[in-house]
Amino acid sequence: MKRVALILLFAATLSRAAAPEITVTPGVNFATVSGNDDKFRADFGRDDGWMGGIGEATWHQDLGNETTFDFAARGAFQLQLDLTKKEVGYLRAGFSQFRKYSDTTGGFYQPFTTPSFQLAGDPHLDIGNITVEVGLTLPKLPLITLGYERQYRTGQKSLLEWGGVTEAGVTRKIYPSVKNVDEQADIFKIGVAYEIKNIQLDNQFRYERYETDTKRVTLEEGKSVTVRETYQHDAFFNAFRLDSRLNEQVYWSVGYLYTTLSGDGGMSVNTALPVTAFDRNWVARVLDLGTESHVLNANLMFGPFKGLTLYTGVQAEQTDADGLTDALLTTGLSPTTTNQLQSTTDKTSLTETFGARYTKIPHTTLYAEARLTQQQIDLDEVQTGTAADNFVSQTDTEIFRQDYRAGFNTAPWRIVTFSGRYRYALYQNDYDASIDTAAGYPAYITMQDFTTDEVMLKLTVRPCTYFSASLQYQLVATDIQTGTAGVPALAPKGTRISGEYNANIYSVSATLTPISRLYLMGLVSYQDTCTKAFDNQAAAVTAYNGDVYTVLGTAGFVIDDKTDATLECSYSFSDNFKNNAAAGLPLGLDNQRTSLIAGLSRKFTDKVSARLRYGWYQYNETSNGGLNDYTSQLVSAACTVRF
Amino acid sequence: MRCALKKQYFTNPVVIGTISGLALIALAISCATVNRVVVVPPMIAGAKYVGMDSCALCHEKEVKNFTRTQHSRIELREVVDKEEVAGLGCEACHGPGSLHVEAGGGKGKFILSGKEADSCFQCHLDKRAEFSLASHHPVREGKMHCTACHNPHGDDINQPAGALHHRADAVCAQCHKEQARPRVFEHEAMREGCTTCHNPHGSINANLLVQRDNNLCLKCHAQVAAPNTAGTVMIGKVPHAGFAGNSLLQQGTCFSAGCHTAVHGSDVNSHLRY
Repeated sequence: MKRVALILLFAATLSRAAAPEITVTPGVNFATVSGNDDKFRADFGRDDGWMGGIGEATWHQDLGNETTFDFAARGAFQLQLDLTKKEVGYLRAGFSQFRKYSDTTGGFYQPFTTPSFQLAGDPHLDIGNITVEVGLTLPKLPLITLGYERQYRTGQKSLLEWGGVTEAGVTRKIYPSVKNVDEQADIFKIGVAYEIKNIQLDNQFRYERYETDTKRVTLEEGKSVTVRETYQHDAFFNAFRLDSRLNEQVYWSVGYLYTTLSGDGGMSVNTALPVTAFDRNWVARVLDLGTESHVLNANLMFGPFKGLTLYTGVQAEQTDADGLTDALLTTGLSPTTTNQLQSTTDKTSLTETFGARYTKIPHTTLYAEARLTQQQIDLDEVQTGTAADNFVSQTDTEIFRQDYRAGFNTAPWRIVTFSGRYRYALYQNDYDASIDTAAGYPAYITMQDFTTDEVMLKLTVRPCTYFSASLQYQLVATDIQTGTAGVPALAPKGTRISGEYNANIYSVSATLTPISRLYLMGLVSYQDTCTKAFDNQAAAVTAYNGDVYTVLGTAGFVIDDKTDATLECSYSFSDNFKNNAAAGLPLGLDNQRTSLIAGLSRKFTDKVSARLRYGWYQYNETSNGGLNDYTSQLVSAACTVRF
Repeated sequence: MRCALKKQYFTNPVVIGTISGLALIALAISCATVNRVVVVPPMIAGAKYVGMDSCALCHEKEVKNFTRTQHSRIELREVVDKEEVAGLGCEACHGPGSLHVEAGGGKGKFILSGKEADSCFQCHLDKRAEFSLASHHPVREGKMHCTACHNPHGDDINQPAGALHHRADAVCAQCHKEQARPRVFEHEAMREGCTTCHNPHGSINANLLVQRDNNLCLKCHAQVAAPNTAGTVMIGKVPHAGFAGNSLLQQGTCFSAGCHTAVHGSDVNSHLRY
């Protein structure tokens, strides 16, 4: 009986439905590649040759009774569905998947007879997710949402973890490796939101089941290392939040987040034909991990007078984590040993935020913000058992982070907007290794300070209706000061600048519409970056220094009342290769990427339109002898029909 | 090299043919009259700005909360049709709203959803350039949106909409669960955040690394050197360079050389070897 009633209700609904608005866009495309097709696949996420099918499809229908139905598809791997009845609820579902290809070229070392290696096959990951969400939006009742999401990654990807190749007594790690990945997460969500007397209550609960099984294989001459990891966890999150705007001047919110995670898994490391002290076989038979976290925050925003907004917030966090492994170790050079490894972490932190925004100066906004964090982390690590490298380490870390920023945004004249921002950050870490039986490793760092200065200036001008331009400059400078413990007869204790990072980034963009039928947009960006670590004059280490230029251009032209043409070009260039092959493995990169895309679209009738695109792409990488170079062309045609 | 580069492109028949062909087409049709004007992305054809006060009539909560978002810092009062209106906060990203208002609102009707990266790139010029580099998140390809990581309506821009965590790295952990999961031995660099080693928008280096050579690790792991030991790099108790012809740092980067491969933390080795 109920079924009949439901069918009648559905039929009645459809009888009141408006005609659907449907668009279908079948398309076909063809790509050719000359050169490294692995690199092309990795860049474009597709193979060469023909592809075709329904490129896009949409369906919108007003079903009557304030009910709408929407469906959108993009290719076969991106689908979205939405059924909404106003003031009753909604059902949303989605599916998306895309393929990410890997380039399997490893490192490059010019002096070798074979300077680079590439693995066969086309490793790729399929990355996707499926979502379903139901919401009840009944008036005067709580907004209730129920959701499910499945995320997955399966397949194979290449790694930046390379195996050794030896020639004439010289070893360089350049042989490529891959990793098999099988990973999925199932997430269930329940949300409830309600407003009582101008107070918004919101509770979000999430349960996550995560499972992963990975295997990475590194190949070297005469041996291979296989690392297999399995892991799964159950995690619960619950966030509760209250917020309210008391009046135009005062807004407050408080929130509490509770997280608990329980994980377990296993691991094995297998070295075929072990030959050195590093080549070991491991089996982690027991792996238990647990985390529990409480986060509490409170925020207040108020405006003592018009034009001034002040805000402040405080967030307290307590996190306990522990991990335990029982590992069976078999080295190639010593007898089998059994180790127990354990760590416990106790983290407490407090973050305070203060900020202000002032808008009373005509056409100007001023703002400033300070964020301070005090954190205490107590870390205990133990390795016991029969191995020779057992240790006990207790490290108490005190962290103090200061982050200040201030800026303005002003438009003194209609044609000019000028903005600027300055940020100063100091992150201080002090490590107190009260117990360190390994004497110098791993607890050899005693302090570390990160000091960052950032400046950003941006000028936008619109001198006339048909032209606007922006000029932006950013400076980022970070110094890292590190203190290390003394190691008897090897290294003294002390502090020094261990790393410096400096970047200047210039960007210029312009938009020009010289005639009503044409627009031209362009962007030029130049980055000059340098990272220099303390190398004690070791020739194996060279400063990472280089330039990156990017030029982007787009033009659109109205050919006639039904036809448009577009042209896009893109060019990027980097030069940070430094040849220190005699003393190390050069890893800098000199490359160029160029693309030129022309498109034509025409509206034949109100219901039929079509577009045609042609793209030419080129990639050159001189720093690895052109092994990754390719040139490709891509032609695509699509026709959109509206019903 | 740059001269050679220019020569390479300007002698390429495909480039010459495309540019010439388009120039000829433009010339041939430039005299014809049309009744349309070109629409500059991400604008909306035929729409005008209406100001935030109009948005507030239906989107009251979003407009009221706008003042506590970081984007409110760029809000300026604007003159529209000779009248000063509340700033173009909403329309700066969502496009001019007049058609949306005339249609009585509605999802997807004559308004940019905010998922179009071009909206963000109008102001974030450097990010637009970074997304054009060889290694980048697939935003330009339409496989993800800026809003997957950033909440433009939230008080913390580095927070995805609806996220439970109030920590920057929770954004990355949404998708990169394997890298973010707890470990028996953590890598302390994870405390500083993923951006210590990765540029999430784009990089010339694989895996979005900010550097792909030894500088990436040594900038934190440099040990004070003993006198008269130039050329030797000590880390902990282990000399990593300068002690032999095939010293560790000569063979490659700390992680790419297959030694400290567990860069996100290890379950079995405190030196992050596995």
